[in-house]
Amino acid sequence: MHIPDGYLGPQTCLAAFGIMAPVWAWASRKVRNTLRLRQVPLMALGAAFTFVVMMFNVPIPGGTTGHAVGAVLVSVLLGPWAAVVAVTVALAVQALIFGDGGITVFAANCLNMAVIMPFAGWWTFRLIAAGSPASSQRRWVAAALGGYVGLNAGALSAALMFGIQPALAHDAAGRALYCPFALDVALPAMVLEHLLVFGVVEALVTGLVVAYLSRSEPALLEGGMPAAAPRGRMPLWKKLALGLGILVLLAPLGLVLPAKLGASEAWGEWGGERVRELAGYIPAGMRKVEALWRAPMPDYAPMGSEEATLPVLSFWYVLSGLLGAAMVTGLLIAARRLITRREADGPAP
Amino acid sequence: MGPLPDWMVIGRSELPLPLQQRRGAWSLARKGLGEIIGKAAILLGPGVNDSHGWLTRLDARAKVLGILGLLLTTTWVRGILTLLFSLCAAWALALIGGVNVRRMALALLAVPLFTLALAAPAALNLVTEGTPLWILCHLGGGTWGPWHLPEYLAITDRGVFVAMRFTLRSLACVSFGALLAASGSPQDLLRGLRGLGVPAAFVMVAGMMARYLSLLLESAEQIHLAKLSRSIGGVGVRLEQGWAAAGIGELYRRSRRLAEEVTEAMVSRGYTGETRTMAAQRWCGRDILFVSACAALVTFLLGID
Repeated sequence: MHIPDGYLGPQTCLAAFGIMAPVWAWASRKVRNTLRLRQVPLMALGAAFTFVVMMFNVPIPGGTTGHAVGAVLVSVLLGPWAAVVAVTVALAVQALIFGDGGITVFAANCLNMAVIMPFAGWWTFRLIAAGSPASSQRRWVAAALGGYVGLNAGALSAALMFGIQPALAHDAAGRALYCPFALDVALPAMVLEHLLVFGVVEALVTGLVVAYLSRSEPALLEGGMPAAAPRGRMPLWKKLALGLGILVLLAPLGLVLPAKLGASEAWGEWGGERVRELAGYIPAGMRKVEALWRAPMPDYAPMGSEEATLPVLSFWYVLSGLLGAAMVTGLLIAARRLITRREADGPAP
Repeated sequence: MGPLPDWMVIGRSELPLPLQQRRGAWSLARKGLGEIIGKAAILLGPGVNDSHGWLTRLDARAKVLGILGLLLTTTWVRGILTLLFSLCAAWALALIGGVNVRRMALALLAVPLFTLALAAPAALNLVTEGTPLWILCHLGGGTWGPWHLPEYLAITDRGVFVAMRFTLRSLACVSFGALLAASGSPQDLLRGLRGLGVPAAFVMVAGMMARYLSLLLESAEQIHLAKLSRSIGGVGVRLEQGWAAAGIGELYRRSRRLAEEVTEAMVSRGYTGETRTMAAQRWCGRDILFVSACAALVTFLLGID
């Protein structure tokens, strides 16, 4: 995941520095407020720990080994903002002294591995483990899932950075100036290997280390999981609900903007009729599969709403968003209750 | 003295894997750690100051400014010849400047090989279309999953150009990065960054990290060695994973303990939470000359591009 120099164009590098500058400033402020006097040695040792974790080979079935990035582990142990600082410093030392990861692409590497990865992992961890005791089984399951989600989110971001290079920077003859692989190659190449192999290693390392610490020294796990929100501050679930609500209300933009810009439907997301228009016929297999299932709300509106006006379609869009969000939330709550009940029934292995 | 137990008799072991394979993961991990400790000793150690090359004696700010300028220019330029010139300039600077070339090669790590492996597919018509130079095999067209296959698999003229440019750019950029790393001690480099406006807290944390990294790496090696010396046979992947996790957990415990001890030592010496770094040196004639030469080289590279 360490992108070397020369792989990304100046536009991407500058954009990454633009995103990272306020993140670094905010992370320093947050860490200074929470760790105070201890911050420098703790951050330095946290960064050194992050560096060394990457050296630990973990055996995986099939007789081979892999190593983890460790950013989610650090965010679970020290908190996500501390992880931003620790992983940034580790990446800086790797780039400047060990030549691992580029200098011009430093901010892009930080965005992937010091921000997206620890935060995606930490939010997954919080969502599942919030309120559980330090010795709980739920904690290490959550940490493992966090590791998996975090690494794959980081890999996806790196793949997007690679994949947009041919479109962003090419010469007059159309030849790529930087990474030559477009999204159709970069995305499957990066995402599949992380989904199938490296994500599993990251999940193993993160989950097993949290399990080990929760049994041997649970106090060390308190750094990443703050106690209940202080009085007067909005609890986590309210923040999530608020964010989700805003996103649902913004959903009709997906209808309004294409209508205003005169854009057609997304490439490849064609129904049978559109395929007939484009290709002159509907492939037999497609016709057969199309008849298998009729969605109750095709295109996020009840059947027969194809000719409805934009405001009406927008209303159905918002309603579909609310319905979908409620169903996913319900499933997550049910899964969480199931894990909690299992935990209450028997001790952790 | 009684007979050997069955599991110690060669050829009668009931363990599922041969000894070499059973201890493979730990031996591999220890070997990897040994290599990185060796590299850290060379890259982080004081050896660089033994070099009497003029580049190592320059003010850190001048080095950072000049070499970063060349690195950014290399990222910007497009021509193959310009990139080749840039690559040659990086190594020529290292040789003329008396930089320890071994340090520089170590800092390069496996990037050139990785880049070559990554750039090779870009030469194929699957990635970059163009006039075929060499047809490798016939694919017969059709589709493979969501991908459309061409009639044949070939190396194209445009593909070779793209792969060459990508490899050259990456090599030149990485060489300048390695030159920066090899032309001074880490503390010197960080002092240069501080002198150019990087926040003091960041420089202090990075400096401390570089200082304690060797210690943690040695701790990690001790943990591996202790486990390896106490294991004579395979225990299965699952238990080995548990050991690896316990090793990382133990390392974290040691890091926390060390951080507390370092904090106490700093507080006892008057540390109040205010970050301080060593003052940068004063600029002198040779520093200004070096930055000017780098600026001239940047102008030349942009000019010939």
